[in-house]
Amino acid sequence: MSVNSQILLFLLSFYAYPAIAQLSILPIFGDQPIVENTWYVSTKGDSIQFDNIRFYLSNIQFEMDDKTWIKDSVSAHLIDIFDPATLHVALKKIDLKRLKTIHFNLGIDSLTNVSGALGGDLDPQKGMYWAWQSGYINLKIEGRSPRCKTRKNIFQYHIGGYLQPFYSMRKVELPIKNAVAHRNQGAIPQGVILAVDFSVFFGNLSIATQNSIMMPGKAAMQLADYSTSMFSIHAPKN
Amino acid sequence: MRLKTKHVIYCLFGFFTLITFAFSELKTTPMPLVVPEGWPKPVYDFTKNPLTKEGFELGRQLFYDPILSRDSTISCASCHLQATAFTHVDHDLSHGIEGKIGMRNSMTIMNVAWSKNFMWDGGVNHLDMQPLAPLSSSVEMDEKLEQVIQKLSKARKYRTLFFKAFNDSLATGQKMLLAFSQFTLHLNSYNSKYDKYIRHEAGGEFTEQEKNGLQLFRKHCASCHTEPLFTNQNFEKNGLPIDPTLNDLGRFAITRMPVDSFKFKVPTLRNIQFTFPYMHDGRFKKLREVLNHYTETNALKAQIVLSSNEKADIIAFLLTLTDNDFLFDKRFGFPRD
Repeated sequence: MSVNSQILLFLLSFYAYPAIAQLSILPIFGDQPIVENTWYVSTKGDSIQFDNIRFYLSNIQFEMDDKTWIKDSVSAHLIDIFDPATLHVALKKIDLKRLKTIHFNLGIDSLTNVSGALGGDLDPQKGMYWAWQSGYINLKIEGRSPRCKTRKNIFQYHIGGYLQPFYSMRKVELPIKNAVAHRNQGAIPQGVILAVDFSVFFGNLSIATQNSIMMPGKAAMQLADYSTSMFSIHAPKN
Repeated sequence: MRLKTKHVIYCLFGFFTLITFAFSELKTTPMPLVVPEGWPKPVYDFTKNPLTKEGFELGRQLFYDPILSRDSTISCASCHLQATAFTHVDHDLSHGIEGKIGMRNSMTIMNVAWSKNFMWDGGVNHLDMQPLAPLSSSVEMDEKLEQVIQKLSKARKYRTLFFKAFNDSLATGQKMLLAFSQFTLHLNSYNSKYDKYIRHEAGGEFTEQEKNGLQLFRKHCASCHTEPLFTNQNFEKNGLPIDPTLNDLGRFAITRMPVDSFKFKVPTLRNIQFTFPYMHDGRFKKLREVLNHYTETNALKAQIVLSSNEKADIIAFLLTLTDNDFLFDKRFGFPRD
């Protein structure tokens, strides 16, 4: 074996070693995974196809069984469901069996919203920032449905707003008990799987009339309320 | 064998030299903000964006470069000219890409370190974020931030400028916005005749008329146009009837609160001699028209009563707010290198 291939193997061993746990995001529609160019039918009977779904998960924290808290070192993650690289959030080395509750914000808090130019996932060049009225877009859902009598049957939901009474960030808290402990079984990485079921969102909505919500306000607040119930901790089938 | 050892030593030496270079940073030159005597503490948080000569220079290049617009025709300076305190003089409404006309009179850019929010409706909440509005407006530059960053990354000139300012040649949205702030934070006007009068400096000798104008101004105007910034930074209803061709509700568009209808940001009055036409829609060409509006019966809650002579005195005072040091400061002008 040449020296080069030995070095390569040595480096690879680091790469493959699961030193840190992951929070994996699993975008689904009912019991189907969400993929591009695929039609889904909502519980209201609307045919829906998705072009773009992006949202911020921020301030991720875990409550442990001894009431201690573990905080994510990165303040906000931009999740793009059609960009697999964003679907896995690396976490500190934690004992998965002792996890009790996951806490996170869907969207960006008001303080971050008034903090000027930020980098990384919060860089405005990520396209999740409003220019005419400062503030982050917490959740973007874009796609098509024949039910929408709009240009190209498009629906667009850009949910944001950081000023009261239209503060659209939402806190989510989910128990992890009994749902975790899937240690490296096949393709499932070690860690917590957070399922996001968009059929819940579209089950609340009448897309024929509500198909373009693009600014802070009452309508955005209502959609933000719907969006929190999309999240659940996924228990994998054995 | 000896030769080999020598080679190894040379190699190691070379390796460590390279490592040293890799970690050496280009030094930037601090260029702190000047806070004039007696002024309040700036609102801008400089700890997050320490001002440097290199950052200022990058911001200045960006400010004057039409690369920011979709078809490379419009720069910030198209509507913000230094000679008129960085506003679009003699245009009631400003025009942008392909001659498209906007909805409001372009604002001045002065003393922005003290501003809490930006735009006539206060829609922009932080100086860093201000450039995004004209950049993406379909009647101004009509460009996407992602596109601008791509264009900047391709330009050798900007790779060098970004490297000098941030020790990293890669352009990002964050760095571009920080550089813009570095430039605009220095666009400060505090050397007018009025300022010299306040500081008892040479060149600040007021005439009797100017003194009387200042007295009247303090009595009738200063509750909104508060010294030394000449704005209280609030949004106020100033009694202008709505222009039915624009139907601009001002602050209401941002807060959606009925109480904010017809409210607009109180603009600074510094360099007002050159910033005409006046008001959010540029409806008044002359200062006399502005004063005539404010002395009408239903303009303000408490009517201002001024004689014709008193109006002349106030205007004489307002002309003392002209700051030629600022309007002709070469550091702020088009970069001719």
